[in-house]
Amino acid sequence: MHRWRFCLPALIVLLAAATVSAQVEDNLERYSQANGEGYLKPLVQELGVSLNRGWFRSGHVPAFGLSLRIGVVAMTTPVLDEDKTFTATTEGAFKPVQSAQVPTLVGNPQSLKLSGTGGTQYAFPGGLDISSITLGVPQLTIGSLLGTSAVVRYIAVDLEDNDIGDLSLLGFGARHSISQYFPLLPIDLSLGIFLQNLKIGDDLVKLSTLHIGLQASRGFGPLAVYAGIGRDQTQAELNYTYQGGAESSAVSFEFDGDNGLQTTLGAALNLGVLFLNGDMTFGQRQAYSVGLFLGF
Amino acid sequence: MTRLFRSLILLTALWFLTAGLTCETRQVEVPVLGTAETPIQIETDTGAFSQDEVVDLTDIVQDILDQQDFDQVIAILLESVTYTITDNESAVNTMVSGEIQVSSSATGELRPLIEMSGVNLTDIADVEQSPDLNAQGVLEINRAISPLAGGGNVIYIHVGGTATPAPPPLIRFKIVVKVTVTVVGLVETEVPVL
Repeated sequence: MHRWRFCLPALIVLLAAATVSAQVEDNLERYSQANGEGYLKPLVQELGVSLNRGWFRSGHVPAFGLSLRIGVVAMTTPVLDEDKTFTATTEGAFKPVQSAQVPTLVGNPQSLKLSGTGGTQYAFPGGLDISSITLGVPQLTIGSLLGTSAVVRYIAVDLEDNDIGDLSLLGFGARHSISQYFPLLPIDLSLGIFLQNLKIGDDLVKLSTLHIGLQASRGFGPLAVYAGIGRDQTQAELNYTYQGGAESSAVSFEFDGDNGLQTTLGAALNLGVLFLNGDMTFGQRQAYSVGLFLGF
Repeated sequence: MTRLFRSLILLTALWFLTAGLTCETRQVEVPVLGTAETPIQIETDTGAFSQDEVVDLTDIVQDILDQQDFDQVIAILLESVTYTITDNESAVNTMVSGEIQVSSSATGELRPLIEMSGVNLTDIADVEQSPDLNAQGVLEINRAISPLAGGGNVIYIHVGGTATPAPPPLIRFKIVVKVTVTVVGLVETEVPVL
């Protein structure tokens, strides 16, 4: 039975970041590099897909003019079943060495135990049983000059955990109108590039994302439908201390998230000073985003 | 009608961004390693040796409990027992045969844990050995460390055997027995869900 508790995650990146981050580090300490990467990779993959969403809601960028929109974007990526387990190998002096399908960070919260020589036991940590990676980030869009607009995301949170440190996210991007060069095009078309860096603690987690792609849209009064096709790139670097009983050692490794083509379909509503949008992205993983903005 | 439609869309979006996003509690099982070791000095001028020592896991287990702030301790598991020959001052190619036995109490019966048969002290000096463990000894250690069985976290060790070739010279070495346990605790944490 899960206890429900209302929280206000939409304004905070990596919701409940303090407790989740602390738990991530505790569980990671059980793993050296080979197992640590398998344990954490699904979270990084889904986090990268989520963070690369919500940058645009139109293919239209005015050639000139002042526009300012500030709001919140919420993104979610459902966790796939295949992401909930990975093949881990026993470590240390445990005998015999064995491999097993064990929970990843997003998997079953129960630890998996293997039996060894004489009845000894080896325990792999459980996961957080997460069904989706859901984030909310504040975002500012400013435009436009020479058919180019800029977008910025920024948040810094004190996690109130001296062991973990702080969390910060900085992202920025730009979209340039292609359709301004082709006035007879029946749709609005733009090219965008968006980069982000997420950092937790001094160096526990460093995540960088990049999305480059084309955006297209067509308006029907206050409603517009839009689409995008682009390429995601996510890279992560993790640093923690492996606790192998009496010995401990620093572990540091880098790996890539889902890097590949993503296709987005969505709709946006212009309600005067209020702007709403929602879209779905298809690729190696599906993702969804919703935006709520105020501005002009 | 348009105003109602706009209001519904706005409320749905706000729900998604705030109330639709809630936190659930997860009880996660976290295993944490702890290790304790004890050096046992062996010295014999007859070739036969017998020595008793204890491995006390009390402080290690308590440190883990203090640092991890578990909501509940589910189990304390024996992960491995190893030994290392150090400070070997015996003649080159001294061979040792014997046994490491354990008990969960000072007066309890000793159970076999590790068998040493024709172990060359020179060959394995300062190299940690991970031998097969006897189930009787493992069970005895589990009695000592199990919180459910009221274990005191103290393991009584007896090392006995013979060394060849027989002295002189004096046979002298240390055998460091290391016990690694895993404390599995339950931690409650909040995770965001849609």
